[in-house]
Amino acid sequence: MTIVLEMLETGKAKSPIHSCDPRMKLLWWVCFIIVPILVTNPIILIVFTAFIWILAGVAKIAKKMYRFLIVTYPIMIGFIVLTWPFFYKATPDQAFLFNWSIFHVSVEGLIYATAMGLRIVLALTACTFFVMTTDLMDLASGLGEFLQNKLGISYMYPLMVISSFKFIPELSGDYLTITDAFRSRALDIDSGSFFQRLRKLAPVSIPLIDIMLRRAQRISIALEVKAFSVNNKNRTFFKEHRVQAKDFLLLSTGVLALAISIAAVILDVAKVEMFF
Amino acid sequence: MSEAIIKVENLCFQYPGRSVNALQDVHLEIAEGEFVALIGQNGSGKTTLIKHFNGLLKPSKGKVFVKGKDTTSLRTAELARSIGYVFQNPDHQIFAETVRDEIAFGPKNLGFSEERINSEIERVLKEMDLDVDLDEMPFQLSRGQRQRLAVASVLAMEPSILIIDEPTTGQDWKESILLMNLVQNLNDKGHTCIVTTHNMNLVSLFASRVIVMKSGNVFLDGATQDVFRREEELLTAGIKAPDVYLLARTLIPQVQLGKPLTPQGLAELLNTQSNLG
Repeated sequence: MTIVLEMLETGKAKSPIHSCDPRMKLLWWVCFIIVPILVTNPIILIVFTAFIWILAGVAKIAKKMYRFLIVTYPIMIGFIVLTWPFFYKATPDQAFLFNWSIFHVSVEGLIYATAMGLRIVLALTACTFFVMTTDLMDLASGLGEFLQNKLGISYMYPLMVISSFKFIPELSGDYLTITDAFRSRALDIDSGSFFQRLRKLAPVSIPLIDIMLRRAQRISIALEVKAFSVNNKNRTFFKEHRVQAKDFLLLSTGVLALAISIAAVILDVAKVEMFF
Repeated sequence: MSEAIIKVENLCFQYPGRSVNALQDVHLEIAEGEFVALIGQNGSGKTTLIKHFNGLLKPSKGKVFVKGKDTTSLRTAELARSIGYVFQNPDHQIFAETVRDEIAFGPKNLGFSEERINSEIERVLKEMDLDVDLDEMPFQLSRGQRQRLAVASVLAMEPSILIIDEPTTGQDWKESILLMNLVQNLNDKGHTCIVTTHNMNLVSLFASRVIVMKSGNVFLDGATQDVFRREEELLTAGIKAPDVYLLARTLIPQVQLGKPLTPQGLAELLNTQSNLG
């Protein structure tokens, strides 16, 4: 939980990439989510992943990203690399390392599994980079402005998202205080099996829900006394988002990556099978 | 002086991810039966310190002993037998459907028998002056009643030490005095009471000893009347002594105070001085 909160907080740091328009970063992220869908060529995937790490250096988040991904990478890659080879379709021309009945592991299967792992790595790296360089409240606000001004959609919906992000740290703090209060009344929530500890946490949910509901009520009253819902049609915003040249520059890297992937598909070099 | 029931030696504490020590080389002892007020401005380390007493926090360096036992080796649930901790916001701990179940929760966790739990419920309701139906829903009680219920729920575990974190926050004067009188009664019966508060008037009325925290250190520590006479030093710690002490210093600076000063006490002293004069 602490790592997640730290990631969300990192999104509020200052760097050339942090100051880019959040909506352009969102589009950049979409590009890098589509790339691993199109491409399984491990070389292309590694190059794009390395590129994102370079951007992380520019954004000064490389160390923090490393701390998070060094735990996540092995879990993701390990799971895929260990299981996929057993499901890779066996054909007689493969170089089998192990082959008995329905169980088989081949060199081609291992290479394929590695490529699948690298797809996840690229997607995960892009997601982590996006979250750690984007203030999610800023993004929701920017999207809200776009939705309202361009598409006529009510600001209420992005506000719900913004409120969730804003109050996650507060809720986390309340949870810690409440569990401390229960520990102080001899509730031993730190010992026992996973399910035993989960059962012991049941009483904690009640004060937590109570606090959430009271807070929601207070917020809605606070909004109303500041005339929040008076004019939904021509709402102005405290922070105005303007797209600048550097935003296009960042987006162009994502578009370029996508273009290269599409070109690779057309030229038939996008698949890992080309190495078999 | 009684033996120390809480002993803190060279305590340093740093929250994870922070570079600054929240507590810096704290030494103190609290004797059995004392009524201690722990004061200091926000961020001075009061709550961080008291959370070490019941094991919610473990020292980064140094030791904390409660009844001779090192808290590092004990879980908070184990320390709950000796130390009761009441949080500032009673709504952080109230969860049960009835007052009875709310009070019984702690004793049940400690393995009290049904009979003992029932007798504890009766006792603590009386001690906390809570005239409520046992089947009433705690959330429907007033703020003051919920605060007293929170204290009662902790008291039912029979701790010898009671820590109350800012008990009068959000309370009117009448409720504040009522609660503090109840805590005073507990102290008279032998409980060691530690209260953190920003209300200096209440401190001067009830506490016999004051510990002032400043920047994670113990800045001043002594009898209430002696600490409150050091107004300039208190100001550097963001504390303003109660007006009665400021008045006493202006009107009778030569008089040594042998006990905490109240307005009535000041009036008596002025009478005595004018009779002597």
